[in-house]
Amino acid sequence: MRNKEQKFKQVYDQSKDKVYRLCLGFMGNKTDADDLFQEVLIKVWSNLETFRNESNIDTWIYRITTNTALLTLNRKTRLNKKELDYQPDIPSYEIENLNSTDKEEEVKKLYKAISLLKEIDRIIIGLLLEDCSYDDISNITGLKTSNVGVRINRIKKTLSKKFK
Amino acid sequence: MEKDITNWQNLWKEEKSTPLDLNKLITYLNKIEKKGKLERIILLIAVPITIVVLASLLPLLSNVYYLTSIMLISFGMVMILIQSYRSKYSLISNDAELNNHRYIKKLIQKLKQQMLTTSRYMWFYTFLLVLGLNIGYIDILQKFNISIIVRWSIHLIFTGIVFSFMYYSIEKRKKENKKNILPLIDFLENLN
Repeated sequence: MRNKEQKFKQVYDQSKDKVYRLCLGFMGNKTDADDLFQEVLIKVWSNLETFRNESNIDTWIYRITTNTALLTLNRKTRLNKKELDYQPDIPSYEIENLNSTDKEEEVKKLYKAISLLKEIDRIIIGLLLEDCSYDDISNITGLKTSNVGVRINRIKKTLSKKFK
Repeated sequence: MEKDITNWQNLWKEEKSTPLDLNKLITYLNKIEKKGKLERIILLIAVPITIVVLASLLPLLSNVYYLTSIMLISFGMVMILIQSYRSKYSLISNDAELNNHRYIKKLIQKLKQQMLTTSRYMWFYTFLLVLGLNIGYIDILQKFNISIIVRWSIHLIFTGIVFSFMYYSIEKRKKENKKNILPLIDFLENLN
């Protein structure tokens, strides 16, 4: 058990910010991102025994994060459906804070723009911004590398438009 | 464009996770794990207990009608339970080994399994339930001094009532599935 705890602490310290950013980019608001982040940590804990040291820890944790995000989205969609017909989440990246600096505003704008993309595109751009190579992204998403490239170009164009 | 990416990357990395009390979190995770283990142990104990309870009912089951009836209904129930269990999301335990594409496929498979439970397995269950109950009633009705026509009528009416009730329940469930699960499958299929 001690060994597991140490391994978890190590994974947590190494990956917490990367995982959190992916959650935030995917969910589009801090409340949902925090919930998703917690769920990812639970999954990391329960999958820890399956992690082999020779594998790439980043790919391992990104797969858990993105799959958990898809599952959460699935559940959320289901819950929403009970009340109203499905509409894509219109994420809000927090209420405007009057005291926030220009840079903070830019950060919010970027996350908001990302959260308005298609679900898989949110994952792709999140991974790209976390310095993942096209091959890594292909490995995590299951898309062909060539397809990843095409989609990244499209996402860049969409983001540039939205970000201006 | 590359300049944009570098700029976005710098902005993206500005966000940091909120610091957590890691020891508290680990205690919580250990608790969840222990709870899961306990549940599995309880389940393991519950199975032999159920068998013992059923064995204690053996005198009742020495009657071939009751025995057949209980076996058919139990078989139907186990079939539905297995099917419901198989359609659980939580059974996808190898998150880290599946890429998003395969994970979505698994989710879709689970949803389709849920639909299949209603459209096919619930009808198997209904058939077994009606058959089992009618077999049980053969013995009960034999004890009353009533004509064969009346007995047949009771069986038919009883079958009709159970079928109608199950038909209504299954159709209601199907409508719910159409409203909730089908759009979800569409949604997941479009993610790929």
